[in-house]
Amino acid sequence: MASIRLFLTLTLIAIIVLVSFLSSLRGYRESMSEAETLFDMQLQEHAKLLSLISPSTNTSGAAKLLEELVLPKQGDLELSAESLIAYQVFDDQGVLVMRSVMAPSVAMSPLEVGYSDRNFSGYRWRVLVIHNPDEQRWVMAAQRLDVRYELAESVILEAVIPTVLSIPLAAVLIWFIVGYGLRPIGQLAQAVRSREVSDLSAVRLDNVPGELTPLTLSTNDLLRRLQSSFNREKRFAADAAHELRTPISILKVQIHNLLEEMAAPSATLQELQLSIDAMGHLVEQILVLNRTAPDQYMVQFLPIDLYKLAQEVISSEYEAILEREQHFDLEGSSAIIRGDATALRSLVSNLIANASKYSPNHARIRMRIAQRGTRVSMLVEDSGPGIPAGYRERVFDRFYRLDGDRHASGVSGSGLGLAIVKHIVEMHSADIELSSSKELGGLCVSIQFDAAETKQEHKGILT
Amino acid sequence: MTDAVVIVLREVLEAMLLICMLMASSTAMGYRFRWMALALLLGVCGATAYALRLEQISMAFEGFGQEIVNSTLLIAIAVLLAAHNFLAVKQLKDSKYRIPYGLLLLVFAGTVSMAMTREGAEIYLYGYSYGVLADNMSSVFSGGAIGMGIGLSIGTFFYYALKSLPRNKRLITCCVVSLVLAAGMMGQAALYLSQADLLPSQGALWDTSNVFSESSLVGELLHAAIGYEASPSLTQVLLYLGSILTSLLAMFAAWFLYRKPGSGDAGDAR
Repeated sequence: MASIRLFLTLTLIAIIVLVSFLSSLRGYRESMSEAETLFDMQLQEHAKLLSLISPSTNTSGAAKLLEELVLPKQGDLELSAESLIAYQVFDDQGVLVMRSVMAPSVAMSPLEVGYSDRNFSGYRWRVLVIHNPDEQRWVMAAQRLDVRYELAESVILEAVIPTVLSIPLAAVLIWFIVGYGLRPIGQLAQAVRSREVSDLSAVRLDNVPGELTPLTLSTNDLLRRLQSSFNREKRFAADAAHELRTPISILKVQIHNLLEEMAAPSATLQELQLSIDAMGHLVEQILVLNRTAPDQYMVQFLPIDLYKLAQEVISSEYEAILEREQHFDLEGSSAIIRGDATALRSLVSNLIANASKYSPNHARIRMRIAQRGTRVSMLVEDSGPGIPAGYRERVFDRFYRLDGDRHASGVSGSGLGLAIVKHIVEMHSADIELSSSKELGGLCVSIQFDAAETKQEHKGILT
Repeated sequence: MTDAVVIVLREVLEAMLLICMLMASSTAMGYRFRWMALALLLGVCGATAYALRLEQISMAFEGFGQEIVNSTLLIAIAVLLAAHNFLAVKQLKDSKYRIPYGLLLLVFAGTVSMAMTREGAEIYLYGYSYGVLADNMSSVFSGGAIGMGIGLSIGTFFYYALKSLPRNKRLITCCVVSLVLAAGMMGQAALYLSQADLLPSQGALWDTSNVFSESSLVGELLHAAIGYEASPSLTQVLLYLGSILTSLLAMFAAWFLYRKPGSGDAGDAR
């Protein structure tokens, strides 16, 4: 269902329309039938009255015109029921004694008592014939059916039209009332959506309706289980890595001693030393990855000069670069962002180590840091083999190495470096993009940070 | 007022059943209702143009222009409904099959706009001749609003009833509704063509007006839903059944001839 609010509004309006319109239709038909009866009764009253007051015989030879006797002039009551009633009075011999102006000179209906519908004077009429045996008179009263219908309908429509016109108003009211009724769902969704990624505390809402209580309780229960699961995972990864540090350090010392004791160290032992170093690196990386996970990291953002921070990190990594006779350039100028210094050091260190590790000896590596408007960009380019376009998303996965352990560079790695970089980028709400370096031909890693906003922030810069 | 209710209800109901069926079918095919915007625009323009040019249209084809235009519209809608069924069966056979949007636009928006053209023009003409010209606005307005309200409400329930069905059942139900609606339209087209002397006029095969009069509310509902005629001619019945058979054949053809991409045939399998 696309929208509960739309569904409820439409179906409620549809129900109201169906019920009210069908009852209006039925009411209309009943009222029209009732009006017919009333008009018939009116005809009867008129006919009875006329039978009492009309002259007994036609003495003058011409029928009297009723208008002069009992009714106001036609036009005074234009289109009223009375003005459109035609009358005829006959004696027992069938001679017309009296008639109204609108009545024809011939009988409107045969001399048979009762109601009937007749055509004359260009209209269809409802005719009532009554007989007064005491006065020996036949009285006929007739009303135009179209006028009766029009009069009845105009009265009844007065009741129907407000029902029709009230539907749009009802629709607007229902839309807002349903929206108001569904507000707690929106509040619950907002409460869950607006919290920090690391906030797994219980959702607290005031006046939660009964229907939403089970959902709120289930959500809170889920959050609680998620929190304990995260804590377990965090503890396990951190504890395992931490516990592994000591035996690895001991192994390193022992292998060092062993190599010292041996006059001619064997190739196997040297490989063992390299493997133990790689294991140590892996454990350190796992610890960093664990610490920098966006959902677990206790973020403390402060203004940081990214350029100065990069200078510091490069100086500590420079020895490895020199060993391989690689050429490193740092270009740019001071650029302030809000971030976590430890995490950013790890980011820069991983990027430089990656570029150095996977580029051949004598390769060129260049880092550029620059502020453009509200954005600070960091570019790390190298003249190494780069990463094919189809693999650039996957290299951010944990433990993913291009071509697995058969990496073309032959360099051992943990497969966690770029996963750590991605974590730190996400933590800083920055954007990262991998592409080919146009100038150096290898990989180009581009990271865009938001620049620190105010001058006050620039004052307390950390590096 | 009752006349206005019956006339508007008949037209609105006929259009609503068609539109709501196509809307439900569209959701089952994975599309939202953007095609409706084009359909409504074309429908309103078509209905207005048809109503305003009715005199010229009526005088065309030796005075049978209106009958011929109406029957053409009805046959075109029936053909597009058969195309809808063809596409729906493909979708049923292969849930991953995605109907090209252009094709969906042609079939769905085409059907709705043509239905609106016909029904809208009839409502407009009734309102104009009995309301404006006969100075009977309040009666025609009230009756028209009541008829439209009832028709739209029934359409709303019909749509949500179809929408509540699981995808495949919804598609099958839409196909059945489409079959019956198309058959009813072919029956009406046959009547118009007989009136235009393009099909032979024949006597009624049967007369059920004493059971369900066509002018009664039930009769109107049945007419809108299944193309009910109290006294149909042989041609009408033949076209009604022929339409169902043709559409069924198209559906069977879609089912048996369509091969899922990548499924291959027996030769490939070896």
